[in-house]
Amino acid sequence: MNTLLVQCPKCHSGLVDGIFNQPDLRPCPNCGASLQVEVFPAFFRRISPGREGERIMVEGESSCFYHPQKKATVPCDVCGRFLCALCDCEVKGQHLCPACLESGQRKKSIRGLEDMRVLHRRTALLLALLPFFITGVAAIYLALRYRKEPGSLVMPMRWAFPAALILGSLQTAGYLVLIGFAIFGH
Amino acid sequence: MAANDKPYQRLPGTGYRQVIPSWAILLLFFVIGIFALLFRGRRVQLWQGAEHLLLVEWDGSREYYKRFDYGDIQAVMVQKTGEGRLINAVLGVVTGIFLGLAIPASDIALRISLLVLAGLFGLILLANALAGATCKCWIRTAVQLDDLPSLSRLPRTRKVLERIRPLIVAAQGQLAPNEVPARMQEWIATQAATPAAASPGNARFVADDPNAPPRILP
Repeated sequence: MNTLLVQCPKCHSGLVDGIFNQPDLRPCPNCGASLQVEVFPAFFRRISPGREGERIMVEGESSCFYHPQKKATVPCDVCGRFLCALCDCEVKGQHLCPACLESGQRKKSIRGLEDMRVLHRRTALLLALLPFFITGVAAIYLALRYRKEPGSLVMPMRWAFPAALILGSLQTAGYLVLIGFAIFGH
Repeated sequence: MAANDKPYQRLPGTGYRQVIPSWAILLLFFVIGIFALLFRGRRVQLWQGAEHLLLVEWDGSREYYKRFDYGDIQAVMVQKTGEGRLINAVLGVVTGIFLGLAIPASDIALRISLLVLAGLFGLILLANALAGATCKCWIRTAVQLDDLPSLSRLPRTRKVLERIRPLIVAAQGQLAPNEVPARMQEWIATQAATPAAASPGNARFVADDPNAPPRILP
């Protein structure tokens, strides 16, 4: 991405004065595409260069767990390892080492870093609504196996697992009765 | 407690991050019928949080999340497109053809069928016209430029902007339209004058192994 200018999404030419923060659409000076561009102060904020760890000057000073030649500045809030400024990853006020950050993302223990959730609740409910024997059993399995898993971040649907369990059980029981009747009914 | 139960509020609009273009889906519709909708790609919605805008993509079994902190949003770009007018024209022609065929038809059953079809396409035309002009929308931060497929209609996009603008302004402050050019010029001059060493790309460490912390270069 060219970070120098705001570009026209159609012709990719740099946009100029008179087009930003206007209340209505304005034509791109180059291609004429109707644009509305809202720029916020973050656009002009300077990106600070990445921090580097300070070298240890005095013998006996605490060093970074990952870089023994660098001075430790903060302990990891999860594992307690000493970290230099380079290894200190600050997330929502917590200081984490790269390993804890990665495992936190994998185990979904850091909420702000979660980028994907499997929606077993919806799948279980969908399966429970399908009129087949195997889908009823699968719905019961999903509802029991993943009962502790959180649902969607935006629509948790807490009722979905109990509903899937009830519907799946009813469906399975119905099929079992039908099968029993077909075999032993006569 | 209620705030914790619902940390996000849904913003208007639903779109699809398409894997194949719309015209290909339309062609597929004539081959595989309703199953062509399976090729629409992930469903995309925007949700408004207290600290960030959440882009949610749903592929049927998983949800994928992208967060845009209000303090990090640099720009929102909207481009009006002619797609809506094109759809209106096509629907208008189709409706006209069915109406044109229905009027001279002598068979009452055929006439009713053609009128029903004309009415159906006319309703879609009306809905499309009422939804307003089509557009594309992008959100820009310091590290990404992401499109927002859920904001595909201009009136809806403006509604969403009206809702998120106060949150962005609360996090960053506001820029007046006449303030932007001066800041832009100043900023470009500063960027040009800044030595390359200040850019993160020239830092003396490298993250070459995703399973290990950054390595400091000698």
